[in-house]
Amino acid sequence: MMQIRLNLPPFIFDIHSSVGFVEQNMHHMYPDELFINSSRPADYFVGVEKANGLRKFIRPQASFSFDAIEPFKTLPLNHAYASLEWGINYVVANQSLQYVILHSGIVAKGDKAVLLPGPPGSGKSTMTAYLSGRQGWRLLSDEMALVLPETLKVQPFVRPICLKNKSVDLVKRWYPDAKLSTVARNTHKGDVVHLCPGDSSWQQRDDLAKVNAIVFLRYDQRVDLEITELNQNQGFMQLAQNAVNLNLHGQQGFNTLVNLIENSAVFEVVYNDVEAVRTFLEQDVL
Amino acid sequence: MKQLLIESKQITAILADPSCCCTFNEYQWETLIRVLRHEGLLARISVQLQQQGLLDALPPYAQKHLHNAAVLAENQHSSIVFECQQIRKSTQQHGVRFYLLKGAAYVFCGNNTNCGRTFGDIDLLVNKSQINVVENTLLLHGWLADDIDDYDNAYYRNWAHEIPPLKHTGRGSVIDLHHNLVPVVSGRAPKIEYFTDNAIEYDGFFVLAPAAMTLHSIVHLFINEDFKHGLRDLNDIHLLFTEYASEGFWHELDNLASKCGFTLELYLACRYSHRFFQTKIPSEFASKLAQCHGNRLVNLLRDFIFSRVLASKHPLYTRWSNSLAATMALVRGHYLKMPWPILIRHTVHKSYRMTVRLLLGKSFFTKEQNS
Repeated sequence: MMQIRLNLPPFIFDIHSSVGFVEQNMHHMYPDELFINSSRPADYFVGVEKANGLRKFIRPQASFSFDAIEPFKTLPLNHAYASLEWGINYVVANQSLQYVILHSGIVAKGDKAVLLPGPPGSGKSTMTAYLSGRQGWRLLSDEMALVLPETLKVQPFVRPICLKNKSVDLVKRWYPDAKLSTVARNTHKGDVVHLCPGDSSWQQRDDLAKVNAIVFLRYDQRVDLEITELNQNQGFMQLAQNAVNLNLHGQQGFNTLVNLIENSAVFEVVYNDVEAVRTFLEQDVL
Repeated sequence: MKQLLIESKQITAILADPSCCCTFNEYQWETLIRVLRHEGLLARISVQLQQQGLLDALPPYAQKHLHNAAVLAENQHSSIVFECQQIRKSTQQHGVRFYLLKGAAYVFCGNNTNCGRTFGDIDLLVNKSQINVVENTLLLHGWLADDIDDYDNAYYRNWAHEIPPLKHTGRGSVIDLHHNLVPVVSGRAPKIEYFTDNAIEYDGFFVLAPAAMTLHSIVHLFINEDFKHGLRDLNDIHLLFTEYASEGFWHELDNLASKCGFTLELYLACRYSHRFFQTKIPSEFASKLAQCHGNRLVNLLRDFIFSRVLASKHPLYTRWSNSLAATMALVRGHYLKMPWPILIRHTVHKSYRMTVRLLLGKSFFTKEQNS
């Protein structure tokens, strides 16, 4: 039985699981110093456990819980670790109104951040994984940007990066020493593996960054690199579609997005070459 | 086993007087926030502390969570107002008179129970003769009944006081459309005019007069088998009693309960609201009810059940006796709702489904969703 308190700035999670490989993955993915004792109160209590029912002998299931409430259907036991990671995202997205949350990858070079929003399949996580491993870059999040309302500042929420299907092989090729979790097979996103971000990302987990650019990504095998600068209206509409809790923030949320759009360079980038995107960002954007 | 930082009794004391949590340290707040969030009452305490000007002095950890809960509740309130406007717009041509019940009613009339109230569904009451036209019209505007099995559908249509819940396909709002306040099959459904007479209009909707509103909340809690939101609903009743308390109100409440045969439910509400939250109830009023319903032996049993099912059900407070009390409340609620022959049929059907779930897993009957 694992019962841990994990410091995931800006939150503290209390996490329980009696599924053996969940515990192994947690210790493999998260640095030791994040495991704290109960010296600080937890923000949220979550867990993933084997589901009951005699089905557990035939097709074992896992169930995520947010303090005794189970918000999702059970999943195959093999998805337990992935579902815990997704569950943590779900809790933050629904509960943490101190931030305007954008569904987006976010990486930074020093304190200059680039938002990488995009629908599933756009290559957002792959691009995030690639950039955050390059010299001078760091990960803030592959999934959600926590923007301080009415500022350009983003709070890092450093966590393992969720890689799907073919992107796993790409990452292994780019970073042969990458630390990867066990595979969750045939999830709704396909085969899923989590990637532990590099040391510099963990070390700077408390350091806010300032959004400099917003890049809407779209992977297309046939296109090396195609860059279009978006006007503010186009940028705003696309960014609003990626806002998770905009409705909860009302006027303040709207102002935050306007502020982001007015003070950032906004591009749409179609690509098949991650290195070309990095060169573009380093030479022309930041 | 870890010692509890806050006892279940303290939770109700805090709901009666939020200022008693002002001296809490962060660890007590950790427990309190968990439990109140689980009970859907975090926003209520948050708004009450705010109103009393006590929020700013609390530890930042507590402030953060209390603030978030209040924002979530506030957002639910504005979406409920929006959804109600949409419902009215789409049914305009039929001249339907909508009565709002429970949460939606509290929000529209803006009473104290409205403070930080959280919601699941929008409860509406219409005249039975208009149910079909309202249902069909709402369907055309995107509110569809969930896919439920034939048995459940027949249960709603023939025996219940409401039709199956209607869910908006785009926005996900859920409407419970009622034509009475208790299931028709129970034989206890009141003449609905007793409740709807003297209703007050707010923005095109009708809200039951205070005594009727309070009695409905009581009946809804005590003629039921499901006490999932027991603590929140009892706290609502406490706030209604406290806000409306006046000689006229108690008289009206007594009168209505006697006319409709709900004096036992009224007695239980007074007993447990007072026991949990020290609600001020006029002694004459309370003793009159106790004379009719205050059998000491029966009360021992009632206290066993209700002191448990109405308290917090957070796992921190789980004891074996809680599940026993919950089972007893389940049996009691079903027995109150259905006559024997129907109850037996119902039990056989539900036991079959429960067995299958137990054997094959919780989501066996949940249809696969393509994502």
